Amino acid sequence: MAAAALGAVLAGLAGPALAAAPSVTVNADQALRFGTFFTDTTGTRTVSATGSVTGSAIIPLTGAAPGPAQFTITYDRGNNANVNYSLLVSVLVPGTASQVSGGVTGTIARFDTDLPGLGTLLPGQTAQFTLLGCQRRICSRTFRVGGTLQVARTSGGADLAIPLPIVVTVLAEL
Amino acid sequence: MRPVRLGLAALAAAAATPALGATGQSSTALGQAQAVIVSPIIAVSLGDLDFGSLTSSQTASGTVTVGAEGGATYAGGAGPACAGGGACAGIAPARFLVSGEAGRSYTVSAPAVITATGTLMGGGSAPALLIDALSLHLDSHAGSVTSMGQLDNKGEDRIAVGGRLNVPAGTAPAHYRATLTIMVTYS
Repeated sequence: MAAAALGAVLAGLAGPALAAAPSVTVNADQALRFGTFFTDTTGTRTVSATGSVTGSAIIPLTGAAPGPAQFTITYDRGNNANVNYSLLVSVLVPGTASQVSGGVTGTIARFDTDLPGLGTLLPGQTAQFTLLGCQRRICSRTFRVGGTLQVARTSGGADLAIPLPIVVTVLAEL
Repeated sequence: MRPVRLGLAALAAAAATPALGATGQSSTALGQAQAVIVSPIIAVSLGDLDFGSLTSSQTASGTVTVGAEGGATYAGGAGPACAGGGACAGIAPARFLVSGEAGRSYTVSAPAVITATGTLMGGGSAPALLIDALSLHLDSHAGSVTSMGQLDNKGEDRIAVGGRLNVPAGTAPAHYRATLTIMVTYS
C-alpha cells in the first residue's frame, strides 16, 4: 500500500511541473527607426522609447515614420506551479552601435527604454529591472528602446542599418 | 508508514517551490537601427538670364520679358537692338541643373526682384535695371507653373527662370543680363 501510494505521488510529480529547465529568450520585434532626414555635416536625431522625435541640425524629410525598437522577453520557468513570482533581469547593449557607409557615419551612443525603473541605457553598462506579476509558466514582457543617432556626413547619403544587439539575463527568480 | 509520509511531504514541498535554475540564463536578440540620410540637393547655374541687346524710346518706357520656356516679348518703348529688328542672339532664361536624391521632391524659391547689369553697345557699363515678374519652368513639371519639382531617376532636374526687365524711356542701347541665385530644398 505504502509503495503504491508513493508511486502514485511520484507519478504526479513527474508531470509538467518538472518537465523542463527554465529558459529565457528575447526577440527583436521591430527595428529602431530614425526615419529619413538630411544633414549638412553633422546632426542628431533622437527617437525616444515612448516615440517622441527630436532633432538637431537636421532637416526631416518624408519617408518611413520614426519609431522605437521593440523587444520581447519571454521566460519559461519550466513548470506549471501556480505561484506568483518576479524576475530580476539585466539588460545590456554590448557596445556602441555604429556604421560607416560611404561619406556617412552613424553612431548611437545612448539608448533609453520604457522598462520599469530604467531610463538611459549606456552601451557596455548593464541595467537591471524587476519583472513583476509573473504567475504562469510563461512570463513575457514587451519593451521599447529608443536612442540618439549622431550622423557625420562628408559626402553623399546613406541607408544606415546598424546592428543593435540586446543581451537579456535572468539574474534571479524571486 | 511514518518515513513514507515524511518523504511524501518533502516531495510535495519540492514540487511547489519555484524553479531557481534560471539564474544566469541569457538570451541575445539582434535588433537593428535604421536611418536614411539623404544626399544634399544642389542647384548649379548653367547660364544667366539674358535679355539680349535692346533699345528704348526716348519718350516711352517699356519692358522686355524673357519667358522661362524661352523667347522674348517687347512692350512699350522697348525693342530689340539687333540687325533686322528680330530677336537678338543670346536671349535666354537663366538655367540651373538640380542634383540630389533620385525621386525626391523639392521646392525651389527665387527672389521676387533682381537687378540686371548692362553693357553699352559701344562699350562700357549701362545703368542697372530692375527685373521683376520672375517665372519658373521645371523640366519635372513641364507645362505647369510651379515651384515644386521632382528629381528624376538619376537624381536630376532642370530649372529655367524668366523675368521682366523694366526699361525706362531714353535707355541707351545696351545688352542686359542678370545672374540670379535660387534656393532648392527637399520637401
